[in-house]
Amino acid sequence: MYESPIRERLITGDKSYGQISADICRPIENPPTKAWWAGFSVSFIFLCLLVLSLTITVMEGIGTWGVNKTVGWAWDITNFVFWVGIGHAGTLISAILLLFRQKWRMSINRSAEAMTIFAVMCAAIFPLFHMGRIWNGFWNLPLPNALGSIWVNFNSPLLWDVFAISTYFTVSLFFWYMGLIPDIATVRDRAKTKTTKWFYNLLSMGWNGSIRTWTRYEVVCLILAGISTPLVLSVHTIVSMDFATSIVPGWHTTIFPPYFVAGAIFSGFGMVLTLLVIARKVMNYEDYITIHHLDAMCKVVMLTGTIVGTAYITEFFIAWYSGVEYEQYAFINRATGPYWWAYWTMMSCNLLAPQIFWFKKIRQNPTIIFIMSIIVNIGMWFERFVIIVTSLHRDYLPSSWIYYRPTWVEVAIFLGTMGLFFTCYFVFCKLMPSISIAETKAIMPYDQLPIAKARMEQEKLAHSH
Amino acid sequence: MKPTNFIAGVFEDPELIYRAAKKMNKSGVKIYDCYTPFAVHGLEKTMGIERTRLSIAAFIYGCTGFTLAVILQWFTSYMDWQINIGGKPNTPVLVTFVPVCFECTVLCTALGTIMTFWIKSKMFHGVKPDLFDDRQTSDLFILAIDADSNKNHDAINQILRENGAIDIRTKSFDKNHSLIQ
Repeated sequence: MYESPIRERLITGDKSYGQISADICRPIENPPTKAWWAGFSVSFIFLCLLVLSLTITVMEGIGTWGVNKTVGWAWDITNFVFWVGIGHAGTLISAILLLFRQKWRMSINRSAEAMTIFAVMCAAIFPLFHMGRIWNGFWNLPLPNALGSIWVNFNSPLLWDVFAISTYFTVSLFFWYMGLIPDIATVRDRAKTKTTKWFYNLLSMGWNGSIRTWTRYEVVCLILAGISTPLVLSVHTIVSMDFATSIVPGWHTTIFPPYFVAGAIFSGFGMVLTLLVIARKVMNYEDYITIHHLDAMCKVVMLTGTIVGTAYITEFFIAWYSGVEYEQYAFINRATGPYWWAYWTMMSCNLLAPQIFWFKKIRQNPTIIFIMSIIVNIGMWFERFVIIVTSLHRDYLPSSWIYYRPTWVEVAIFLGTMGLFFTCYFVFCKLMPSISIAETKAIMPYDQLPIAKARMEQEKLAHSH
Repeated sequence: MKPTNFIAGVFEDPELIYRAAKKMNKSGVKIYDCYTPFAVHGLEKTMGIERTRLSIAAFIYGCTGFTLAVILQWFTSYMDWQINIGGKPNTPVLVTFVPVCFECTVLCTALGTIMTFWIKSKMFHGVKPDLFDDRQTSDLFILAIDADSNKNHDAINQILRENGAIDIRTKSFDKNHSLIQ
């Protein structure tokens, strides 16, 4: 294998293949640590809060939320777009970086993909419960006319969303599972007790590492990556069309699809960094998720943050350039109206803050990266809030202008989805290898392997004699 | 009739199993399969495995998904019940069908390809794997040769030994084993 003399090594610490398996399987094979229990318990409490607040929403109705006739979409859609966006980094890392043959993706793709799946689960909660009568949720599906209604409206971006999100969830789930199969087999063959052996055997589908299967497997992964790449772009494009195809000033913008996709990748990488900066410390994965991985992710954050910032400024320019006074008012109101604080939070978190990643010293400092990743998450949450609430709260009729405030139930649902997300993530870390074992071995620099070193030494000796 | 008796060369080093496989090829011994913890590139060429036709299958599944989506939308929005949107003219196929067509294409491609892969590789939930060594999914590389059809066992053993196999084993499975060819 060709080794670039300039590039930093992707895995440090001169590991053997057996050691890689042992290192990555350690959290699975040992009882959970105190840190795991602490994190899991807190997340689980928030998950209970989700159940409570959703129960109240269903029992009482949407009246428990702060939405009203002027601001009909607010907190829920903000969170829907926020969570869908978080998911995008996983697919970007696993699909787009695979097509670009970026090897550094290998040690972070697994947890990023898991994140995608959990984030889409959180996202789906919001539109489903905003329907009010969740038990009628199947009306979203194109079912025959037995209920006295007509078919679903295929002209509506909201229906496209149903198809996009469900396809995205299914494909991501299968892609993730495909990647897990060889690693589940590794865990299975290392398992000591009967129950764990049974569990991992069931999920490993009889994987035995046959070269015939491997060659097919690699083609399947490439095909999945190839179709996931346009899929991930389509998902957030369609999410943005929920707004862009309407005629609300501030939403009716053709820049939305690329701007939303860039924002999604930006926020997703923010969340990946939040999780991995902690996970690599707690789970002792510092040899696998090195400082150079963080560095590379910071560069992506800076790039996409700047793209998003450019989009904010472009929107302003186009509002002025279009000459439409309603459009102009919407943007001036965004920056200087009652929600100015949300707008400037968004601007400073998304456009200004990531600029510090121009400095290598900062890109390689985990503490600053962690703080920055939280700032990015906050900024991107406010971006959606700004787009949705500030565009709606002052419509064409000044008598219906209103200041939207979330109720505690809405806040509790959002915090609850955080609980769901992190509970799932903690369970995943405990049950499944959170770094791809097989792929990590494949990118191990061959001449750094202990066995290879020993062999080459021997061969050299044999030659000289 | 599936072979049930195998000679297995056990290696620790992917480079050595590759060399052994090449030598095996040169001396005309057919390799049944190799079992490796990760995809060792080059081995499949040595073994003469042809490129899988899964990509063709994927294309066909994609076309199926696309067609189904067009039919669904054409039937519901044109044939069965047309929605009157501000009196705009209704045509059999609308440009607004594009996103759903795309999503259905992707969904069918993904599911179809994965299912075909599982069926072709005889991978099902609960299949008991037949392993040469518990460590073949972790850090050992196995080169398996059908012991029944290849009679020159001594020559095979010699090639394996000369190329750095750490162990040479004979292994028998019952005739329902899950090893594919």
